[in-house]
Amino acid sequence: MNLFFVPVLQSLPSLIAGLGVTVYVSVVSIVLSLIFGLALAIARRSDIRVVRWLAVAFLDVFRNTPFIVQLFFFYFGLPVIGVYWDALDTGILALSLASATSAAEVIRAGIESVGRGVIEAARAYGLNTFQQYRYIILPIAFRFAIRPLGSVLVNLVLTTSVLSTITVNELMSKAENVASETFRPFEVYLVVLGLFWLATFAVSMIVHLVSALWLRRAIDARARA
Amino acid sequence: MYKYTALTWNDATLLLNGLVITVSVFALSFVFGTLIGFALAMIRERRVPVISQLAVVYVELFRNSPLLVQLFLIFFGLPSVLGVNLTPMTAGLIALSINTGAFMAVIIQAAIEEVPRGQWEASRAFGLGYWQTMGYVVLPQAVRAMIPPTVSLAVGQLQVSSLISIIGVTDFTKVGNILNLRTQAPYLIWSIVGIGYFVISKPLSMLADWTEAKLLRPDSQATGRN
Repeated sequence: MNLFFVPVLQSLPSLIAGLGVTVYVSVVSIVLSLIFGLALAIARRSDIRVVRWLAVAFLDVFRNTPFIVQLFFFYFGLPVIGVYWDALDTGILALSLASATSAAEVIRAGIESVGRGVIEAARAYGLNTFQQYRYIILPIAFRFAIRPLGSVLVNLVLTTSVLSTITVNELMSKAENVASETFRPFEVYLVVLGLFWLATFAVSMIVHLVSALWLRRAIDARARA
Repeated sequence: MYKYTALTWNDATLLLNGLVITVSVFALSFVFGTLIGFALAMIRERRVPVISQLAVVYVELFRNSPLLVQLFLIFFGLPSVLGVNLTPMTAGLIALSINTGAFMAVIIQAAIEEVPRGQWEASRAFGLGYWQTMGYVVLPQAVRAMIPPTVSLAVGQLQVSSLISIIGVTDFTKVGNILNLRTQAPYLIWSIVGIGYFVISKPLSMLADWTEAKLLRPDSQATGRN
């Protein structure tokens, strides 16, 4: 077994460019999946039966089918109905929807850990549904949900690699090019493994920081009161 | 002009074969992965000097990198550095087992740590050895905490097993891909494939929800993934 990293290090700029696309896809998808996920989690608890059923059906379907099948469904399917998006946008759409379902599960668990009494008290004070969520339920729910949300987001970053199958030029597809140019697949994928590890490490650090700041602010607010 | 052929009954057998491969690869790799996870958790528990640190690196690295990269590392990488030739199926099984192992190690270790330390001390006081304590006292209690996250990990691993289609295993997704190219009816094909996965996955995720409600307090969060 002899490892030879020089060709890989020479093609590092290409890999870094791929990492840039991965970061872009991740950031956009994280934002979208948090929005979708929150909407789904709230729809799941709606008083309107149809809305609730639709949310449950959506969550069920996306939870129980592989991401790659969802991706192909959109990538090959959208043009059939006359929607010509490029691979990047299609990938972001599929990734956001898939991660939104896991985010929704986590947020729902957070919402459910808010005591019934708290919600009843909010209602008794005359807050409407929006105000209940905005001022009472969500601030508490997110404090419960932020850590598990971190692992959902890490998973999202890892799943971006699957977008290479629909020709998105992210880190994984760059790696495939570099591997076939240098004939050094093991070294290339080892480096890519490390790069992904760094990316997920960054995500967990950010989540850690946000949750720390959040808790800090909550404590400060209580001290002022 | 070449006319795209419609689906025939022969395709149903193709799909069924793919489904059988998907399920067997998933089941086999999950069993191997659980064994790897147990071994890693035991190494971590006993704090074996160097191996224990290596186990941490293993778990961290394979939990925090894409399965797809791991697959490529094994399928394309290993032959070039070790000179071994792997079939896509073997490479897929190895990668999935290794990946499952990393996640199982965390689940098993967390479950073992949830058992109160007093149990260890009591067992030692009764004269049980380390392995007797582990086998008769600690593990039976830990299994309870292990089951819900394990089942929800299984749901995720069944899903990601579809990635082995990319290195050329003719699993359910691969059959879908082939039929998609031939029939040019993406909505039909990917719906069929989606329903196939759903039919296997739904009972598993119902089991996951059920065990979670039965065995777990709401505060412990499972390490799910898709």
